[in-house]
Amino acid sequence: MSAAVTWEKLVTAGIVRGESPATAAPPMAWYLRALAAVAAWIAAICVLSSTSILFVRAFDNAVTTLVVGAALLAIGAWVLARAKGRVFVAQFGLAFAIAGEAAIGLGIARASEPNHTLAWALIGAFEAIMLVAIAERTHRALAALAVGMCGFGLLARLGPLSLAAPLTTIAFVGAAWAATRDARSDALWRPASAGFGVALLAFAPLADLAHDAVRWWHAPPDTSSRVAAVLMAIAFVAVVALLCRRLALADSRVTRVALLGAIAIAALAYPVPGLLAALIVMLVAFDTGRPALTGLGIATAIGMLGYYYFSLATTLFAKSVSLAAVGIVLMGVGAALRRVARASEGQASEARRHA
Amino acid sequence: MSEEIDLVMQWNAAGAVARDDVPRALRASGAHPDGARWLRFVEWLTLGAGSVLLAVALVFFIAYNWHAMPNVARFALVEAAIVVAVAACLWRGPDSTAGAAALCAAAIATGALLALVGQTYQTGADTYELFAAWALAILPWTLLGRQAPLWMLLLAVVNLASQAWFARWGMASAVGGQGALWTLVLVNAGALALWEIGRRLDLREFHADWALRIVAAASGLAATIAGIDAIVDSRTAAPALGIAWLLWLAGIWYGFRMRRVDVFVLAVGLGSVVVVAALFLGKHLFSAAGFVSPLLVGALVIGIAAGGIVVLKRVAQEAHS
Repeated sequence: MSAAVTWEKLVTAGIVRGESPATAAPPMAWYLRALAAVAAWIAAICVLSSTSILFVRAFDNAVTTLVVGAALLAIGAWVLARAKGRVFVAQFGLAFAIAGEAAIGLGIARASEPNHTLAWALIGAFEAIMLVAIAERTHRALAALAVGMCGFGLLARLGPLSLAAPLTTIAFVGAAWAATRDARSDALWRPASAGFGVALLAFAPLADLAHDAVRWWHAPPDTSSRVAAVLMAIAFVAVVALLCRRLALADSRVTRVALLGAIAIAALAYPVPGLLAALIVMLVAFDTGRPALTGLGIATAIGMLGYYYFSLATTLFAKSVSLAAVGIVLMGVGAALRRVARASEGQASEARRHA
Repeated sequence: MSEEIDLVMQWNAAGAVARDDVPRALRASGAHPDGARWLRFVEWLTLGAGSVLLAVALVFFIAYNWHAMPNVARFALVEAAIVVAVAACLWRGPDSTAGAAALCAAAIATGALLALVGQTYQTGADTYELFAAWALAILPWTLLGRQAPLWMLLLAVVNLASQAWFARWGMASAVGGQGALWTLVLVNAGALALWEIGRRLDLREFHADWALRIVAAASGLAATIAGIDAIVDSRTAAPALGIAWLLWLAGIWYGFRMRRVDVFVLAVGLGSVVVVAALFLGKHLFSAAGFVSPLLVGALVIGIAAGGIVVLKRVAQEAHS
C-alpha cells in the first residue's frame, strides 16, 4: 500500500491534515531481515574461526577472550552505525557484532567458572545492554532472543525452570504493546518483541520437554510447574482483558463473554504444553499487525499438539478429554462472541438510524 | 501491515502524527486490526482451532485403545464424528469458516478411522498404506471443498506416506541411496508447481498467500537438504541432487520472477543459496589459506546474501510501481 493511500486514511479519520510529509524508503520485509540474520550468523562463525586461527591463543583464557570479543563488537557497532541502509555494510557489521557478543559471552562464562548461574545472569544483562545500545532491528531481535535464552539458562540453574514461560510472556507482551506508543518506542520494542516472542515459543515447549525428561529419569518433578501453569493461565486472561481495553469495546457484554471464555480456556488448556503461550503470541501478534509471528504461534501450537501425543504427563485418554474440552469451549466462546458482537452492532446501527 | 506501521512511525517522528494519536493512527491505517477484522480472526481462530482440537482429541482417544468400549461403539463414535462434521460442512456451506473448519475436522477424523481399522482388525497394513489410504480418502473432499487448509493437510499426508514407504521397504538405498530425499524434493517441488498452476487457472483455493508460503518453505527446505547432501555426501549419485537443486532454483526464478513476482518465494530460494553456498565454500576454502579463508567465506556469504537482498528489494519495488 502506498504512503499516499495510508495518509488519506489518516486524513479521513481526522488524525492528520494537509499534505503527507516525505517518507524514507520502506525498511526490509521481515523475511528478508530473517535471511540477513541467518547470513550474519554464518559469517559470524567465520569471523570467530578466522580470529581463532589468527590469534592462536585468543580464546584460551577469559581475559583474552573478552578483549578479542570487545574488539570485534566495537568494529561491528562502528560499522552498523555507519551502514545507513547499505545492505552489505549492515550485514558485515551485524556479523562482527554477533561474533563479538558470542566471544564476550564465552569470556564471561570462563571468568565466572564454576558459577554458571552468575555467568547466565551476566551474559543476560550484557545482552540486555546490547539490545538498547545497538540500534539495528535485526540485531535487536537477536539480542532479545539471547536475553530470553539467558533467562531460560538462569532459571534452569536456579531450579524453577517452569517460570521461564510466564516471565518471557511478560517481556513479550510488554514489549509488543510498548512498541505502539511512538516512533522511539517502536524502534526499540518492535524488534525486541519479535525476539521475546520467538523465545517464548521456543522456551515454553522446552520447559515442558524438560519436565518430561525428568519423568523419563524418574527424578522428582519441578515443584514450581503448577505455579507456572497457574501463572500462564493468569497471563492469558490478563492478555485478553488488556486486549478488550485496547480495543475500547463499546459493549461491555463482548468484554464479559471474552473474559469468561478466556478463563474457561485457561482453566482447561493448562495441561496442553505450550498451547497458552502459543495463543498469547497469536493474539498479541495479531493485535500489533505481525502476521509472521501469528503464523509462528500457530505452527508452534500444531507442533506441541504432536508432541503432546508422546508426552508422559498423563494418559492418552486424559489428553483426549482435555483437548476435546478446550475445543468445545473455543467453539462455544467463538459462537457467543459472534452473537453478542453482531447484536451489539445491530443495536448501534438501529440507534444511528433513530438519531 | 508492517509497511503501514513504518509509515505511521515515520510520520510520528516527523511530527505529523501526534504521540497521543499513534495508537489510533495505527488502527485507522489498517496496520493494527479494527473491530471487524478482530471478529473475523476470532471466528477463524475459535472455529479452526476448536475443530482441529476436537479431531485431534478423537485421534488420541482411538490411540488410547480403550478396551472398555466395544469395537462397534468405537467405530460408531469415529464414524458419527465424521458424519456430524460433514453434515455441519453441508449445513454451513464449505465456503464459510464453519463449513471449512468442519471439513478439515472430518479429514483428520478419517485418518483416525483408518488407524482404528488397522488397530482393530490387525490388517497387517503398513504405515505407508495407512497414510496413502488417508490421502486417497480425503482427495475428493479436498478437490470439492476447495479449501487451502485441506490442501495443506493432503500435502503433509502425502509426504508422510512417501517417507513411510521408503522406510518400510528399505528403499533408502534406491536411486544411489537417496531415494527418500529425491521423493521429498519431487513431492514438494511438484506441490509448489501445482499450486502456481492452480493460481494461474484462477482457482480460488490457490490464492491463499499463507498457504503458498508454507508450500514454498517446504519445497525450499527439501531442496536445501538436497543441495547440502550433494556437497557432504561422497556417493557417486550425490551430484545429481546438486543438479536437482539447481533446477529447483531455476524453476523458482522462472515461476516467481519471470512469470509472476512473489518476493517471499524468491527469498526462500535466496535463503537456500546462502546456506548451500556457505557449506560449499566452507568445504572447499576453509582449510586452504589460514585465517584468510574463513574471513573470505564469511565475506562471500554476506556478499551473496546482501546482493540477493538488494535484488529482491528492487524486484519488490518494481512490482509495487
